[in-house]
Amino acid sequence: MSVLKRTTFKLIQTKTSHPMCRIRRLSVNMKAAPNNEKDKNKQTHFGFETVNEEEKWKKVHQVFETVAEKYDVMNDAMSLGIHRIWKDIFMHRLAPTHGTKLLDVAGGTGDISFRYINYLKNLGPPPESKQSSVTICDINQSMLDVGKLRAQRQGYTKESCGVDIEWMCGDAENLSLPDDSFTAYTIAFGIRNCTHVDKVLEEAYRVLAPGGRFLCLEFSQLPNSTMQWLYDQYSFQVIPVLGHLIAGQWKPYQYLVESIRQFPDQEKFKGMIEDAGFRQVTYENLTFGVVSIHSGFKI
Amino acid sequence: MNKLPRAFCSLRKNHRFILPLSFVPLNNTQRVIRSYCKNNEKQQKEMVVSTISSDQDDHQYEENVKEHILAKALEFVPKTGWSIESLSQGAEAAGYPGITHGLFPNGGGDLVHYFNVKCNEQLVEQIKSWPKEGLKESKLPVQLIENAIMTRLLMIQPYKSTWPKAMAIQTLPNNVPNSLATLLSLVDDICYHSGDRSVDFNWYIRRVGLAGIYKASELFYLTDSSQDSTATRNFVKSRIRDAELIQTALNMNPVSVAPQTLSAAFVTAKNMLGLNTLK
Amino acid sequence: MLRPPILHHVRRAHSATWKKNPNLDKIIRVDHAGELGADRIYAGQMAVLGNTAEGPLIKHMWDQEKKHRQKFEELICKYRVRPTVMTPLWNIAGFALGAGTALLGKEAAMACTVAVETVIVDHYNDQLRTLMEDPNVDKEILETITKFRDEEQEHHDTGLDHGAEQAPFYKALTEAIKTGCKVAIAISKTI
Repeated sequence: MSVLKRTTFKLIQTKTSHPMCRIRRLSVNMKAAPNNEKDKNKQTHFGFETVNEEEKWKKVHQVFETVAEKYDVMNDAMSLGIHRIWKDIFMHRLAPTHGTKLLDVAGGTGDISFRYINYLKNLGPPPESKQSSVTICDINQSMLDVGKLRAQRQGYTKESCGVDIEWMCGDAENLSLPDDSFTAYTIAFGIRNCTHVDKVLEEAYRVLAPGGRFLCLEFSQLPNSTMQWLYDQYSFQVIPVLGHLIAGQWKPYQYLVESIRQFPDQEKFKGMIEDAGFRQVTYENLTFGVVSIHSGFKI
Repeated sequence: MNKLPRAFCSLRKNHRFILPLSFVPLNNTQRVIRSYCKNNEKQQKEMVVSTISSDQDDHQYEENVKEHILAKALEFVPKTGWSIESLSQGAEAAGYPGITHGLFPNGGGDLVHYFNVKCNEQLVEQIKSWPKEGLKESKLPVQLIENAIMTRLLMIQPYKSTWPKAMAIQTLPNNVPNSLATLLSLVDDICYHSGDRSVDFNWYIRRVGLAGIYKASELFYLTDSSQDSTATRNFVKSRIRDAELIQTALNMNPVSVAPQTLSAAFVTAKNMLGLNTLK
Repeated sequence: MLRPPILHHVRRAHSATWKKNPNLDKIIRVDHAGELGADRIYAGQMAVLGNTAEGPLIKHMWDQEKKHRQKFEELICKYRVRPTVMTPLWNIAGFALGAGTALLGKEAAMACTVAVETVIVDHYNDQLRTLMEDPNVDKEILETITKFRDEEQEHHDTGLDHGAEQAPFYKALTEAIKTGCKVAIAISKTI
């Protein structure tokens, strides 16, 4: 099928509602010049491997299906529990108020959403007119299942918290959500797993209401080369071993550390966020640059 | 050219709202001017989210949005103080969701800073319109300085109840550079417009002295409950008188005042040793 | 990264003149400090060598430095520049340097002149280069600095003509004075 045919087909096609976990079609990258062979084998990175774009999401899907059960335990082991502090700081940076509608993307196991609910609880009773809500979106149903179970166990329900909670399975590059429907969009440790980061950013811009905030927590590069070397040693030598010992998996954790190296650095990612249309884009390094919080506003 | 496909995507998606898209190629970074018109069912206000050509304009646009929110937030300060709540209520009054308070990472500190800058600007406008006759280098323009300080203090009046909190916020380490900058700007403007053209160390002495007088008066003003703040005005007058005395003392010829200085030192020593003559 | 830099607020808190050239503040401050120092150095030299044969020569150079200093004081008032905090210190240090080298003899005084003027000429040249990169540069400042640079070059040549190189320890003396001047310039740029 030529590119032109494919494009016209997509233009005529009307949008249908998305059932849970539909298989994503091959996305035509319209930026590339029409070139049939090149398009069929459009490559991207999966860790340090090079794979076809259509394969990447399948491989990522597989990774998260295998790690879902032990996701939280492994997070604690690999970061020595510091990931909890990172996520706490992340929620404090967002500083949600009553009436905020949060979309937490790649938030399968619910870490960010539960912190959001607690933050709102600590602010005090909400005024009558302001109803807060959180929509947790993840491409992987297994991660969402783990999240729902945790919510049940820890008692996060609509009645007990006063916050609307919704779980949806969906693709960050193609959200089946209306425009301007959320006031805050968070994505924690998820964006580097997406095939097209710029599409994710554009979707984020689309679903945010004017004045809405985009907040991203992601692993990043250390500015100091000695510390980067130390971090590399820890990442490549210790983490896959931990994965094997605790979760019985080696490859997903190898993918994890490789994907961190492939993700653009702070400044480059800031530029990408600005290109998507966000303003007042800033970033803050945590733990010397191991993770970085990027923030942008749709104003 | 990477924005053209987006146009096709949006058209294909059957939006309820009208999305006029115009494509304006500019410089190297191509930006699209997007206007979102909300229909009446959703909101009465028309929110325009636009991107403009150059970096300068971008920056100016962001500054304008922030100033708009800050101006609205000031109205809520008497009730909710110099805090994030006022900022988020201000954002809501400006038409943005409450979460937009995140534009101000220093929270209440940014609001206090904005207020200070605005008051300083108003003060300069007012001083420029006052008559300035007979301003001499050697003599302190007492009346003008007193009026300037009182005018600036009275601008705090609507927020007097929450001002102590604001002063405390100004001393937080991340807000100190801003508050020192606005203080310096304030005293520099008052000194300049009252005729000070010194180019040596006097520049610093005058400004530091004036900053001291201003800060002391500010603290006094907070507990002043007199009619028309006359007690504060008297306080300011006394402080300026003290400054004048110090200036005369410094200008005196050491030889001629030696007897006075010696007797003053002698009385102080007697007082310290408890042999004072006053019963 | 989340907080804008400090000076951004200071500049915003001040008048609109800053928006033209943020470096103007530093340039005028350091030049004023330089001319103040030069004025005091010649005053020191006059105090010791005023009645000798070099007296009129040093007086001529001193008068020119006084004019330079006046001009920069005008510019400080015009652009509301903050003068350097070290004025009392440069006052004393300049006088001490001038008087000290004059006490070592007239050649040493000339060597001191040569050293100071070399540093000042280089400094003015650097400033001119920075100013000329800016397309909306203030013509008045450019002309002033060019004129002063030429006069300082004259002083330098005069110093050489009158036996600077015969001073005792010429090399060491000039190097020490040059270093001192460079340090003073660096300090006055910021405070």
